[in-house]
Amino acid sequence: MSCDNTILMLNDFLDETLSKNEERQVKRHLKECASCRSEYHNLENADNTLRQVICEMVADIDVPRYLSERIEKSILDEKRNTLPSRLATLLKTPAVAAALLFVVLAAGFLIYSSNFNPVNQQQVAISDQDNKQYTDSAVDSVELPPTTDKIAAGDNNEGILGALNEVQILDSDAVRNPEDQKRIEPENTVKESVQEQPGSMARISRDRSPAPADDTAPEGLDEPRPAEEQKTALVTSAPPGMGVGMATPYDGTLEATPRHGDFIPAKPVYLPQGSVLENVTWLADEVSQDYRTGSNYFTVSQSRLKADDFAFIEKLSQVSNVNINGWQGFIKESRPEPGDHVSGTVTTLRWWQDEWAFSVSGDLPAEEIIKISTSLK
Amino acid sequence: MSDENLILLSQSGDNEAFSQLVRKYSADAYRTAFMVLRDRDEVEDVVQESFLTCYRKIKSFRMESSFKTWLYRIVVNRCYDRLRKLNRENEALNKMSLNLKNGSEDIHSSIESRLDLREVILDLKPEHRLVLTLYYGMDFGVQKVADILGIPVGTVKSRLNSARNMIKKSLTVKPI
Repeated sequence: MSCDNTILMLNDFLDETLSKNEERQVKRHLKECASCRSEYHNLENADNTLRQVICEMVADIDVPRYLSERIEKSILDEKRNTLPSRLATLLKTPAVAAALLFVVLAAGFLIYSSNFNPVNQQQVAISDQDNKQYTDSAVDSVELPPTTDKIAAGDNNEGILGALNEVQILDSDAVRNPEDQKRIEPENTVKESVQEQPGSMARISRDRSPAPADDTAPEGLDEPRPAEEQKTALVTSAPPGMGVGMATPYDGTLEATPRHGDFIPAKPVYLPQGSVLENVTWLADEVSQDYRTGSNYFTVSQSRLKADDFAFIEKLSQVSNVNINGWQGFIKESRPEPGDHVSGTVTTLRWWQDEWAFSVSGDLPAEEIIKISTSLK
Repeated sequence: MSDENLILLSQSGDNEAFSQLVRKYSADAYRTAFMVLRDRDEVEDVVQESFLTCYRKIKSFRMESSFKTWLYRIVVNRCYDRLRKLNRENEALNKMSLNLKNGSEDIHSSIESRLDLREVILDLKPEHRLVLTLYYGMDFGVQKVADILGIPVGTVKSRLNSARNMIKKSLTVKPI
């Protein structure tokens, strides 16, 4: 290899971009040629100097102390801010908008029917008289609108139910095909629908519990229904947007519990041995399930994500991170607050999943709390 | 945990995994951007925006390059956006910038007179400084630097050669 060629290749030799063969040739020439070797050493010296200066300059740059934390926070803010925009985008979809409009119309029809249908009013009166809670003065003089005549004349269940079922079909992911709809339609849900006065606190009684209005209940009401059907009927029994809280003592399954939200709550597939669902509390966008396991308690809560949920993030230093099916969870152990129905250390695990905030809390070992949390379906 | 695993977890919605990537790369991304922009607020914005871009697009990241290369490419593009916006390049030109391709005696004299390589490097055009920063400061190879900057390998080599030759001459010129 000539000196000219070698000099031309010296930079590539330093960059390590020569082929093995070229590299060998350059090395061989540098061994033999003092002039080229000197040139190479000068270049290598420049390269080392440059590397040293650049590295020092880079190392001297002060990185802001909380840079990572700020970036992480901006990502959380981004996640929070994109939730409403995602919903807005969804609402712009014609099919979703049409479905929503239909839900609103059906809900309006339901409220209208509940207010002005004399059959309903009568049933409310009978039902509530049994409980000695009802005064019916407000509905005596209401004139029956022509549109509700047909319902009152014997098709009452079908009329209201049709609207109810269509509402629940739109609301529930679980019921999507016409077969399901047909299966639900013949069922009678008047009892649930008439036991509420719109705008007032709803009082829910279940079909299978000792009903106060058994005598007047329409035929078929006492027939046991599949849990899914019963559940979907109950969805529509609460007026939309009703924000009253209600605790329903119950020792059965979550599916059969009266519902007051427009969502199906997640349910732990794994439960510690001997666990019993004792209580289900519904708020507008929140549901809590209280379980008892021997002398221990735990609560599974699910609520729609709110802005202040993220305040919790600020206290990251107080908690440990766990992974809940790919979502970041924060676990914290604390002494029970006055009024808590537990005496031992309370372990709380919180995480966010899509637009929902979840928490599982109780006086169980952290491993159990994590196991319950990861089993939520 | 490897970057690949952290990316897979991030793609499945694990924020903690993405946070680990932030903690791993944010400081060097900041230093690289600072070598170009030299303004703390601007640099912090650039790094933050770059990670947000990665976060938004993480699900479509196909591992065709490393996360580090992808991130640096975003950081570099953001830096260029800032430079354009702030017209820093023109400002730099007005400040006796060095054109490495046309190395002249003036350059040598300026180096001699100041004898401060840092000043010389800071007076380089940002795109030249960026090549040196990525190659020497961040230890990327020539090919990676070309990938990050979106320029041919030959251009990267040429900028490195120019810088070396400039330094070599300055080191061999003896002060009077």
